[in-house]
Amino acid sequence: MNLTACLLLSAALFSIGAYGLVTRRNMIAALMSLELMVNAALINFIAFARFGGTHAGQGDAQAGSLFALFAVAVTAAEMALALAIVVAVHRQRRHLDIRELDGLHG
Amino acid sequence: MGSLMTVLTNPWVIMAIKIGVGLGLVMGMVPMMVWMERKVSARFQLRRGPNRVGPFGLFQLIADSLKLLWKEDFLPRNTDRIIFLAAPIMAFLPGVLSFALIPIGVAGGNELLGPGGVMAVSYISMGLLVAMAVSSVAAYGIAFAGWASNNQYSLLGGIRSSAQLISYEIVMGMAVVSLLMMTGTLNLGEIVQQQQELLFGFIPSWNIIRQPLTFILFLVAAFAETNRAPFDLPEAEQELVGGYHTEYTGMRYAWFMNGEYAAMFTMCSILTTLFLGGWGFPGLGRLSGILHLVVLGQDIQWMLVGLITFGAFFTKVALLVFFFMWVRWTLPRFRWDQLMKLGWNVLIPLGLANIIGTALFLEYVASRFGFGG
Amino acid sequence: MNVRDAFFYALCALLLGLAVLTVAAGNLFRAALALLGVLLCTAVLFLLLQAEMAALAQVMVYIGGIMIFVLYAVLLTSELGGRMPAPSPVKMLLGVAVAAVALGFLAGLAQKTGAGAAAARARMHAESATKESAASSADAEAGVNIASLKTLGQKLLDPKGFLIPFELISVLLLAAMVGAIAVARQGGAGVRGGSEPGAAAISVKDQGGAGAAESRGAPP
Repeated sequence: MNLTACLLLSAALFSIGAYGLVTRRNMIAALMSLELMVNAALINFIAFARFGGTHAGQGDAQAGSLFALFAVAVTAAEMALALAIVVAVHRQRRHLDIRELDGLHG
Repeated sequence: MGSLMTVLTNPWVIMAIKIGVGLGLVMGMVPMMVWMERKVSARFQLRRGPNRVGPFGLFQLIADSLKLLWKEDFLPRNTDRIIFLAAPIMAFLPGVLSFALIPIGVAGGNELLGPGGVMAVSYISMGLLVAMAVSSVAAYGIAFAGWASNNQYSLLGGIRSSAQLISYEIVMGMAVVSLLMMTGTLNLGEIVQQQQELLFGFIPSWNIIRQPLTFILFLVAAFAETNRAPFDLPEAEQELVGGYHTEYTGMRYAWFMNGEYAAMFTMCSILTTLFLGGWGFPGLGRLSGILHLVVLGQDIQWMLVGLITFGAFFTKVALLVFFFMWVRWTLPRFRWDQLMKLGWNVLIPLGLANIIGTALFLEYVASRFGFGG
Repeated sequence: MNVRDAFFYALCALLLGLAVLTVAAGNLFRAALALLGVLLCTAVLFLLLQAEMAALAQVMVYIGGIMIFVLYAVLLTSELGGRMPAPSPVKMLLGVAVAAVALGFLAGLAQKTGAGAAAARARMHAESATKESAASSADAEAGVNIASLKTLGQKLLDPKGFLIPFELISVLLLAAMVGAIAVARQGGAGVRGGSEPGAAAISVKDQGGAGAAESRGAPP
C-alpha cells in the first residue's frame, strides 16, 4: 500500500466513471457515473494526505480530510439539485433519456 | 494450562469473545423483549398475556420461533430475488452493529479486557459519531424490502420509513450537537465518566438533568428511528396491511421483528449511555470503597465492580425498554402529515433553538459559575 | 506482502469490480446497489489510510443521505426489474477510447507522482536523520499524520485555515436547498394541473412516490 497504488486505483475508478458517462443514456445512470469520478478524486485527497506529495515528504492529514469533507458537501448539494431535476423531468416527460432532452436546443 | 492462557490472551481471541458476548447479549435480549412486550401489552389491556407454555409463559418464545420456522417460505412473483432476500438482513444489522460501541460497565484492572477501564466490544474515540453513521444506514433494509416486494402497500411502507428516518435523523443529529457542546468529546466512555460527578453534592449530573430538552428531542427521534409507536407508520396495519413486511413470511419476517427489537435495545442503550449516566449511579464510588475493605483479592473486587456496574446499566436499559412499550400501548399512531409536521415544524426548530441556547448558556452562565463542559 | 497490503489489494479489486458493475449493469437499481458498494469500499479504504473522519463523512453523507435519494429517484422513475437498453457499439467504442485515454494519462501521472513523492520522503528522512534520532522522527510522523477530531475542528474555524471555505459551503448548501425545493415544487404543480396528456396513466407506484415526495418537499 503506497501512494502509487492509491493513485492508480483512483485513475482506474475515474476512467470507469468516464466510460459510464459516455455510454449511459439514462440521467440517473449518468449521475452515478459522475459519482464514481468524484469518488476517485476523494481517494486522491486522502492518499496525498496520508503519504504526502512531491514537495513535502509528509502529508497534511488535516488539510486532506477537510478537503475531502468539503468535496463531500459540494457533492451532496449537487446531487440534491440534480435529483430534484431528475424527478421534475420525469414528471413532465415520462422518460429520462439524455438524448431526447433537447428543449434548450432552440 | 499455560498454553490455554496464551491462547485466551491473544488479542484476536479476546476480540472474538467480546463480539460473541455482545452479539449473544443482543440476540438473547430479543426474545426476552418480545415476551415482555406481550406481557406488558396484556397488562395494559387487562389481559393476562402468554401464561400456558412454561413458567409465566416464558417458553412461549420458543414455541413462537418454532412456529415461524415451520411456516411456508414465500417468494412473491416478479421480484428482485437478491434484494428481497437481502432486505431482512440489512434491516437487522445496523441495530446490532452499534451495540458494539456502547460501554456497558467498568472493566478495571485488566487492560486487555477493557482498554481504558471500559467494558465495551469496541472502545473507540469517535464512538458517538460511528453510532450515528451506523444508524444512518438503517433506512436501507426497509426501503429495499418495500421495493423488492412488488406490492404497493409495501412500497408505501418503505417510502414512508425512509422519509421518516431521514427527517428524524436530522432531529437526532441536532440533539447530539447540543450534547456534544457540553461534553466536548465523542468518546462514549468519557461521556459516561463525566456523568459520575454530583451537582450541588447530591444530584447525579446525568445529562438528562443538565440537558432535559436535548433528552426529549433525542427520545422522540429514537421512537421514530426504531419505527416504534406512535411513529410506526411504515407498518401501520390498518392502512398498509403490514407495510414493508407484508410479503415476508416465516423466518424472514422474524428477522424484521428481531431487527426492530434489537434496534430498540441498542437505542435504549445509547440513551442510557448519553443521558442516564451509563453504568454509574450515585454512591458507586462509596460502594467500591466498601468492596475494597470487605472483599479480599484485587481480581474479585474488580469482577464485582464490573458486575454491579453492568447490572446498573442493564437496569436502566430495561426501564427504558419498558417506557418504550408503555408509550406504544398508550398513545395512538400519528397520521402521516402530522408526523412530518412534528418533525420539520416543531422538532427541528426546537433543536436549533436548543443548540443556540446551549451555546449561550455555556458562554455566559457555565463559564462564569464554573460548571458544565 | 503483509496482511494489510493483501487486504488493500483485495479491497481495490472489489472496488473496481463494483465500479464496473455500476456503469455496466442493465438494471438501474442493481447499478445503484453496486455504487453503494463502491462507496462503502471507499470508506473502508479511508479507514486504511487513517482518515477516520473522511470515512465517517463518507458513510453518513454518501451512504446515509445521497444514495438514499438516488435510490428514491430510481424507484420513482423505473420499473421493477426493468432493463435499460445496452449502448450502441459505436458509443461503447467511444466510451472505451475515452476511458483508455484517461487511464493512460492518469496512470502515467500517478507513476511519476508516486516516484517523486517517494524521493521527497527519502530526502526528508535523510534530513531528519542527520538532525535527530530515527525513532523520534517516526514519532513525529505518526503525530502529524493522525487527524484528530479536535485539530480538524480547530483548523476548520481558523481564519488562516479553512474558515472561508467552511462559511462558503454553508451558503452553497442553503442555495442548493432552496433550488431543490423550487424545482421539486414546479414539478409537483405540473402533475397537479394535469397538463400532460400522459398524466392520467400514472402507475400506482408513481402515485405513492409522488405523494411521499410532495409531503417531503413541503417545507415549513
